[in-house]
Amino acid sequence: MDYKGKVLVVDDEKDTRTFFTTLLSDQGYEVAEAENGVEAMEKLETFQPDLVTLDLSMPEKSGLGFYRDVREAGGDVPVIIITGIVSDMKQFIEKQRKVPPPEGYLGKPVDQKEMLALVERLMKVDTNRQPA
Amino acid sequence: MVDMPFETYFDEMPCYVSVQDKDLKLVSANRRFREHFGDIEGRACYQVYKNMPEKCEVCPVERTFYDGKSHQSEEKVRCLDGREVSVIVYTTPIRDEDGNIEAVMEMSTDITDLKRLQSQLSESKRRYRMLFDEVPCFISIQDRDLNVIDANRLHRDTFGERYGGKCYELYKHRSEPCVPCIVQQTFEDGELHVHEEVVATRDDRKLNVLVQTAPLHDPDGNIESVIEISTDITPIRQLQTQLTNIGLLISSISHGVKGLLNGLDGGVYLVNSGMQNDNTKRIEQGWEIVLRNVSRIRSMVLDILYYAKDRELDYVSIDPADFVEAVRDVVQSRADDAGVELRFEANEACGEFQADRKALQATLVNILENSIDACRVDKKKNDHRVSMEFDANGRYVMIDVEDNGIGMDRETRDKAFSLFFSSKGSEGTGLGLFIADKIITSHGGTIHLESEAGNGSRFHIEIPRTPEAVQQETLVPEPVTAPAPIQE
Repeated sequence: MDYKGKVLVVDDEKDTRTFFTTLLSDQGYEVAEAENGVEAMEKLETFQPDLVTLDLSMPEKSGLGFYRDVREAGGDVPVIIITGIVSDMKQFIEKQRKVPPPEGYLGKPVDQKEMLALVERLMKVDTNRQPA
Repeated sequence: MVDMPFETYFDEMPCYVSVQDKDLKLVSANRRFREHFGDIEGRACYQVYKNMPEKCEVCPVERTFYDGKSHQSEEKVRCLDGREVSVIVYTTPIRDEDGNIEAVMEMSTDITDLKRLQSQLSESKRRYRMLFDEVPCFISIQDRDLNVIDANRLHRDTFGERYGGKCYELYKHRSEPCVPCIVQQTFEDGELHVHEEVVATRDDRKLNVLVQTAPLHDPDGNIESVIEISTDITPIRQLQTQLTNIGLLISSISHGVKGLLNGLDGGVYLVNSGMQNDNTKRIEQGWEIVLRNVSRIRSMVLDILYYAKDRELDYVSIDPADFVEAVRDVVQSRADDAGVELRFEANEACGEFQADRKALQATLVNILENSIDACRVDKKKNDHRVSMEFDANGRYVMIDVEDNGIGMDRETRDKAFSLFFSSKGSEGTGLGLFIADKIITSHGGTIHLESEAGNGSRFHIEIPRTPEAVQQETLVPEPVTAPAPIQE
């Protein structure tokens, strides 16, 4: 299977991380996990993902905090917000006026096909992309 | 001036005029008197007026003969036609040339209409007072200094009989007027005002009331007092709170269910893809996810049931050693997954106690799972442990649950037992610790929490050993044992 690039899965739910990691790995993505915003910031540096799937409601550092910090620092990695709380998503949209909006939104429970299609579209899959 | 003889004046007087001698015999009477009471010849006044054989007990004529002064009294007399007439009687002495009282003149004015009006007024006042007292609202009348100068029965029963006291002392047990004070506003602008307040009854119950004020004017149009009518809307507010909580509960459950469905989807994906690729490890991994999420659904449903329904406690005898192991069975796999060591211990001297086993187990599982999660997300320490210890004294069973996880900051600690508050991100419904507190409280016990960010948490629970001890507790309170400092 062609190498499709790197995805960082950020979610405090271990089962969700396992699910997304397995699903994306099966499609040829290289996947790393982070269980909160703090860990995600570290992985952003060390793993250098091509895309981030981001839960919003997390202990330590929330998805909103992570997203703002990344964008305010000029980071342009595509981000898909994946959350089970609709109000969180709306609040997120309201609050992130000062920074560019995220590239995609998905609600939990995630539709696998929809998620893969969105990831593929945002990654603009380059068939020549090689592992770093 | 028209020249009329004295007898004509006497006769035309628009009242009853008579002259009586010392024996109270009627010597003379005017025309109106004779028309209404008949012949006076040789008759005493009490015979004519009242058809009585003896003189009245208190006779103003007799008193005038005695002291030579005018006297006044109110009497009821009966006319020839049988009508009873109320009269006000004035007497004055008639003296001879030597100054001796030879007769007394009695002048009686018919006040029957006035008495009827007075009676109607009294009845009207009585009815007004009855309405005032029986209205199912709290009504008070207040003066400019906010003194309660009158109040209806419900008001007196609910807030006490302290008339003359300040309204803010009576309603709120405070020493300063409320802000805003709509009674003062009504005194200032003469307008009606409405405000919602929380007031305290004489037995310290809190009531939500809708307060309305209106001015009461004196005959000159000045505001002399303000009427305050308060309606108890506590049941409505409670219903609103319940509805709000139901909304939050649905939102919380919905969020939780979405997460669980996502987890189940993940488990199913791993099982299916594992089967397709003949990957046993992946199948096992997926199946574990499915089981874990099914367990979480069960736990969530139990939490919802505990929240939604006030159930009677089902007291049974509990052996602490056996109980500790039952609780361990429920949380062990979660602790293993998180790499957390469990240290459970029941003091042998603890002995059996009585509690609702299922409810208490749900409480401890909730607290322990919180502790395990607090360890799981703590990346600053390598070794994590959660301990649970049972101990007891003569009256209480004491349970300590302690962890060395991430701990809580002050805000999280203060809100830890609040409904729908969760610091666990996607994993929390905000029901667990709320229900834990509710269950312990229903056992007549207490939960105390000590925690510091970065230094772990300690839950100290005390419950009476038996339901009988709960009742004794209400009579003879014993100081609750303070939790020991957290061990790092």
